[in-house]
Amino acid sequence: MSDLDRELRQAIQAEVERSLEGFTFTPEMRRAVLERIAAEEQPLATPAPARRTLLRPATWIVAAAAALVLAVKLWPDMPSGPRSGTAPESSSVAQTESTGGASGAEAAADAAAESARTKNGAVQTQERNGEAVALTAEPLFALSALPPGEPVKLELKVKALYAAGPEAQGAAQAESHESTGEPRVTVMSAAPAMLDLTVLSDGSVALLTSTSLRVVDQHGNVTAEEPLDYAPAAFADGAADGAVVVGDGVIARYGTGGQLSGVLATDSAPLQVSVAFDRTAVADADGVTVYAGDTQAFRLRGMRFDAITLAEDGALAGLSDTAGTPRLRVYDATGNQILDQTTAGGSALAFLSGGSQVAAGSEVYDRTSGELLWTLPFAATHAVAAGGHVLAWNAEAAALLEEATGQPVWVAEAGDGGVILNTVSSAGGDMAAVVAQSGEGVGVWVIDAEGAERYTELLSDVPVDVAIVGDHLHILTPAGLEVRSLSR
Amino acid sequence: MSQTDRAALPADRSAAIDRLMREYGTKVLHLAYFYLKDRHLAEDVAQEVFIKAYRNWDSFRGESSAYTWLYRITVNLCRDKARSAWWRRLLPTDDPRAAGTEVEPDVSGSNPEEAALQSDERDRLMAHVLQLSEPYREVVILYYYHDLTTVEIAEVTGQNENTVKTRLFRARAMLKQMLQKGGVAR
Repeated sequence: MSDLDRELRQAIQAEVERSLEGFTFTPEMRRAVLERIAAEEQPLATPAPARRTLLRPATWIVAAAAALVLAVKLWPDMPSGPRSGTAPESSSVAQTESTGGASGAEAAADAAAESARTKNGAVQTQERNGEAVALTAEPLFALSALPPGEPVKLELKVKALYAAGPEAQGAAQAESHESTGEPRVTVMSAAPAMLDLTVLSDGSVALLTSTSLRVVDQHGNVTAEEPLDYAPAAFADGAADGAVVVGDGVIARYGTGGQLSGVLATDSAPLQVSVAFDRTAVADADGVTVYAGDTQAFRLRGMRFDAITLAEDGALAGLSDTAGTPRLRVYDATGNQILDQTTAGGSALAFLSGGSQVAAGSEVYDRTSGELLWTLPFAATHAVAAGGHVLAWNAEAAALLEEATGQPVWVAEAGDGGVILNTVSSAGGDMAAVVAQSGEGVGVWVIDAEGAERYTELLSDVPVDVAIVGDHLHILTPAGLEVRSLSR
Repeated sequence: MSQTDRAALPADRSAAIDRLMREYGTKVLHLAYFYLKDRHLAEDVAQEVFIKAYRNWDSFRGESSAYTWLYRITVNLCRDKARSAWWRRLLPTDDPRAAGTEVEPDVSGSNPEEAALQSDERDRLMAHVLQLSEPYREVVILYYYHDLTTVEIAEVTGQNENTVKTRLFRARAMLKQMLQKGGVAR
């Protein structure tokens, strides 16, 4: 438990006890409950005679008519001789026939049993693909049958998005768009260059352009805009409440409403910037400086890290020599070194499990003892903790793993000789968006925490960034921000 | 918190409910208050919880602890109450003072000024907790006040444990931010 946790628990418990002092479940309340219980027990001891209900003939007629109407409405579509109809009707006929003339109820039971049998994510994915793209000759994900407990294996093929045709572009969600009345695509065109996208703690999205910072709600509406008087580069990585912009000689913090809340001046262009709540770590060619708010907490000189990351308790991890023998160093919130050891390949670096573990390259360690806890299925270049899971990826593959054990939930590989360009997770870790490119083009796949496809789209251009917020996929293109609904 | 399970409770249903009321009555009452922010309604709901527990006693097989079972009933009753249209119209202010909480100055400190400052800080913390939206307030109260684990909170609220962890993480961040804005260093 972190210091903040301890303080909060102590403060909240003390304050609740104090402010609600005397507000107790009184003996009078207890007695009132017992009296009501006793009153309920009374009829059990001496059951009252059943109330007689006299049904008059008119009542019977009304009830029978209502039952008939209900039965007609609920009766499943059954083949009854030659019948022409729409596609859904034909489909219904075919299904009934395939069950060997079973009744609608039996067919439904069979369907339910089939659904239960296909609980495995891989099979669900195929079925969802089938629903989404009825005419697709080739599944959007190439799946193989897997024994229970094995991760879902996916192959991201841009070519398959072409094969699916224009109907595939968001087709999985077309129906829900109609039902919810939401516009399928919200486009905000903008003249300035689009630079970066980040999700804020209140669920809105901050969009960084070359001239301003915009706060956008989940539907793509701009709710705030702050002009920038410096040249911005990107958002800093990490868990901040608002947005932290890394610019030329400046690191600027903004609240969730887009208002400027703090500025750090930097001498040179930083190589890496990581944030965690009020802390900011800035790596340059000579070392790393960690700030608490606007005040310098400590500086590590003579260290050149390829990756840095901050834990929520202020601890810092740095990974160096990733091209050779990577070396992981971890420092506590005051700058004291607590771990120094070599690691396996990959430049991914992330604190996991509330900061008690650290993922470095393809391995996960206890941050204090350095004990190897589990290994990723590949040498990751990026990793992020996501609601009890870890999302890791490199150019060839992306995977969602159980944070506690490292057990893969799903592993997606770029097909057609393509590469994975970007992978992002939703805040709760329930969905991930993977952007992959091959000679055929570029596409985005949204995969849920069971390895099932939620959305696919063939994109006209490589997106600047993507983000998942609630049931919406935000795609930042060079032309502006586009928002897709992921509602079912 | 004691781990009352079904085996440890009296065999008689009424006696078991009486025991649960004595042990968890006030905790249930406080939990209801944090949902409803109204003392009178919380009292009504707390009594309703034990009546419902009595009626559904057979469904409590002891697979979960008694308090998670009671808290789950409490949460469901409070949610039902909060969902109803008439309740929305009556929804009181988030201010704990307006919600019936009488915040009195803490006189425990030797220095009256210091005591007043500490009291002010704590008032702000409670006000901030009550300002959180329900999903976040829920996890904060269950985790920090009722000492439930994230697994138990998931059981009580019917949420996925990962969702609980995420909400707790965010709630913590929001509280910290609110405290810092309010000038309280944490």
